[in-house]
Amino acid sequence: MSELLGIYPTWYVPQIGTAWVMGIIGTIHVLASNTSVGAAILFALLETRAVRENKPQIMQYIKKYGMFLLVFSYIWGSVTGPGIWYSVTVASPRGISALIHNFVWVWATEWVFFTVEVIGVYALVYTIGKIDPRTHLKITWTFVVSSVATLVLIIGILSFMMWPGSDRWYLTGSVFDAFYNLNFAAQLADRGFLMLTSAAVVGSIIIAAIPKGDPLRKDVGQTVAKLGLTGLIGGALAFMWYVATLPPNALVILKDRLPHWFGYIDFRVTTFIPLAVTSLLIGAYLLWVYLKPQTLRVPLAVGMVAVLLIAGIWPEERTRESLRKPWVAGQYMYSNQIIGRDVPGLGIQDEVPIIAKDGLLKTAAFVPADLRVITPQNQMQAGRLLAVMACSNCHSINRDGPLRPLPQLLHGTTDVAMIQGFLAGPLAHGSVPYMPKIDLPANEQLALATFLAAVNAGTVDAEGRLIARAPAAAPQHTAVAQAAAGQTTKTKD
Amino acid sequence: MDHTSVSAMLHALQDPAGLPAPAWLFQYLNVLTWAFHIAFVNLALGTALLAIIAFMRRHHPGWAQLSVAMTGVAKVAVSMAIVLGVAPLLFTQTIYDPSWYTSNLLSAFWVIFFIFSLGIGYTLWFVFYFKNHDVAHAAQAKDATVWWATVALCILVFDGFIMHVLSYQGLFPQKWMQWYAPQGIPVMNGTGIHAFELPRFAFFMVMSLTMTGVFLLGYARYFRARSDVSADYLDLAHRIGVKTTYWGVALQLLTGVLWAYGLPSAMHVFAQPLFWLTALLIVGVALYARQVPVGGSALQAYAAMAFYALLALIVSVDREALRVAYLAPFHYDLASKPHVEWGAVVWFFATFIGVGGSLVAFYSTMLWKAGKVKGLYTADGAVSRLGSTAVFINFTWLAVFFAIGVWAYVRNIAA
Repeated sequence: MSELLGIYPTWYVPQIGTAWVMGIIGTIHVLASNTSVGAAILFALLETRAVRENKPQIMQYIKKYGMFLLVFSYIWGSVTGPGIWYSVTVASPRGISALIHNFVWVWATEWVFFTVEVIGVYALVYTIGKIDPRTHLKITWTFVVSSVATLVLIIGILSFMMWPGSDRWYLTGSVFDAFYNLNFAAQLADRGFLMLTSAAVVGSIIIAAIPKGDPLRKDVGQTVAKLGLTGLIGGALAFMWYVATLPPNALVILKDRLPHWFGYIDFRVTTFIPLAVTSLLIGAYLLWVYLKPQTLRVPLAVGMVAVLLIAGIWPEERTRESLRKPWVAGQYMYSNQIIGRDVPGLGIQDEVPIIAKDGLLKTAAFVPADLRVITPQNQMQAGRLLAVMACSNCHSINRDGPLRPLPQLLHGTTDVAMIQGFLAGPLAHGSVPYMPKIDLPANEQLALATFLAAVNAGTVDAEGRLIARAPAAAPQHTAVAQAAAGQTTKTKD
Repeated sequence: MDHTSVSAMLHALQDPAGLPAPAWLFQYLNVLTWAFHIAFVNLALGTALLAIIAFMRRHHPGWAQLSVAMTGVAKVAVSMAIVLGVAPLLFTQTIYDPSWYTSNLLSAFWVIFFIFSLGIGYTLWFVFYFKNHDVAHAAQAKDATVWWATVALCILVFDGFIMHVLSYQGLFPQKWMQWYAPQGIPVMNGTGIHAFELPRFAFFMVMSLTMTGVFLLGYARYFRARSDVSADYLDLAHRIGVKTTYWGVALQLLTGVLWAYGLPSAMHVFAQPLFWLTALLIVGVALYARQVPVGGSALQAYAAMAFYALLALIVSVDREALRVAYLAPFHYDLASKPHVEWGAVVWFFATFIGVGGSLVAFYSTMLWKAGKVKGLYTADGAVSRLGSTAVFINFTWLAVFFAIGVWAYVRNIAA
């Protein structure tokens, strides 16, 4: 009997795939949580000045921003925080399981700070003007440290997802070796700076809401703008450090995604041009807030938050997710739930050779009994199941899907032998740097290739269902009818 | 699937990285933190319901004030329920990873629905809060305003149902394959809701009334210290508290018995001491609440909340005991892959007790004392010292964190 591998069922999302579901929730969370941590630092700086310089009016700004944060960060930020766990659970269950089992104590520690942070933000906002300023300042500083602690704790896990950076963790399995990895400090610096920028851009909405002519606009506006610009410049420098700590496969992908200034324009360019343009735009905006705080208007400030979200955080998160491909955790767990290398420190075994020997259908835990053995009758369904299990985490299977669609990457070929050649060659040998090593036995390669060729040919859809062909039309004589007959009927995938 | 196959599947699904501490430790923490979580879920749902009922009677000043107060309590309680839910979610994934992940995947659509609907429900509650955050606003608000709250509450209850389904489906590993591929072909859209147990879900929901009842007893006692809060209002809150507790307890007994009757006969639930202890505690809460006098001592009033806390803990134990019983035929071994690392355990508990303890002590003492004062509160020596200590411990934690970081980072890059 074949060895059973702990591969979970697959959740298949047509078109956008599970990766985008995760990405959308993650992007909302990053904006909310980045703003929250950056705003905590801003509050501490402003409040310390308010106490030292006896400027209680500054506290009104903090109160308004704090109320805004309660709705903005502590509804949607706190919902999408566990939301990321949930979405990763259904997108990449073994990936999140790997992280949970390595970092459970780190996450438990972060939970302590989350709890304190939630109590802290309510205490901070609702006691302004109700308790003496010095005691309030202590609340604010504890809130800052709690917020920063949530940041530093999650960065160790996120950076481990990229890679441990050395062989040591594979041998020891120690959480400390995993956590304080090569990428940790650089990513912490990068995110830490950019949080200040997030807080400044969101905080500009509150500045714009201060009545025109009020000197508080200039007083607070300049502090907010300086903080945001510091974040932007520091973030740019830290990004270079971050790039220097990336693994070789990430650098290959990064290079691939950089703008081809004199070449073709395709979707890969969309990541970096917006980031560069967004940085310049936000820098110019913050400079304007610094120089002309009295002219700031709420709609513009809201618009800049939208720019930050759509043209800043979304492509940044997408890039970060893409860079670590084909891995999702510590360069031992592939994005398709298969373990791709030994981790002797934890007794973890590479599953690729097992699959190469026995096949994915025979070894994965959730495969119906009838599909474990491929027959001519079930070949299409078996091929479809293999495609979903092995490929759908990173690729749309339907022809017009937006997530690196397989039919397009295979150039629409309907040649089964050609597809099987790719599966048996580069894919089976792991020689495509951003692809997992998927070494399937010949019969599974054939089933997968047959299914993919059929999708390309339009004879089956991504669900594995046969597409009925319309009967041949009667001869047409008018010019319009002849032109219409020349158009290919578009089949809905 | 036969039991041997299910057992093999469960073993294969357990994460190969293993458990970084003894399994019993995660089990205890899971039970403890779930009790914290359900307490705030109950408080949020119960106070939300009361806020709605009181809103519709807001032409009476006492009810208007109660609606405003409960709206605010529910707002904070939802936040606390979410953040306190993170810990049991974490520990469940650690020791019951096969059950939790499989169940989530089988109903993946609802998992994502949960996230967005929770956000929408909570946002709607905030809208209601902004329209009902003081008595003047409440008086001016139209009757239709209540729909914001009603829809929000319905969404939150449905989200509770989704969580119930995800937990419950995980108890039946023998059915997972059938649910995943009913005709031998995998159905991967995640839209299925495959199993639920209404009495069990209802039991947790009606426990919200019990929680809200005892909370009102404490609330009514706490504000006796404030000269600007009328005694009539506090008497009303106390009376409603006792009444709500009665309703909660009665419905808990009813749903609890129905739940117990529906359990597999092999569990012999009526012969279990835990069942009778739980029943005793439920009745005990009502009996205790009944004898707390209006305007009685602080100890009498707050002890009712302690009674509920004990009940929540025992219900959490019941829940865990049931899970163990459901999975027992498959010989599910929590501790089959140990990988203990005590340094990380010490790190967590030092933070939990040191940082969490000092900060919660500071915040709660300060808020407790400030809430009893009308106008500006100036911290006394004890609160001031607590605050300074909390700040010091917090910064010390950060310093230690980075000190460990330097040691581990250097060790890592030298490898």
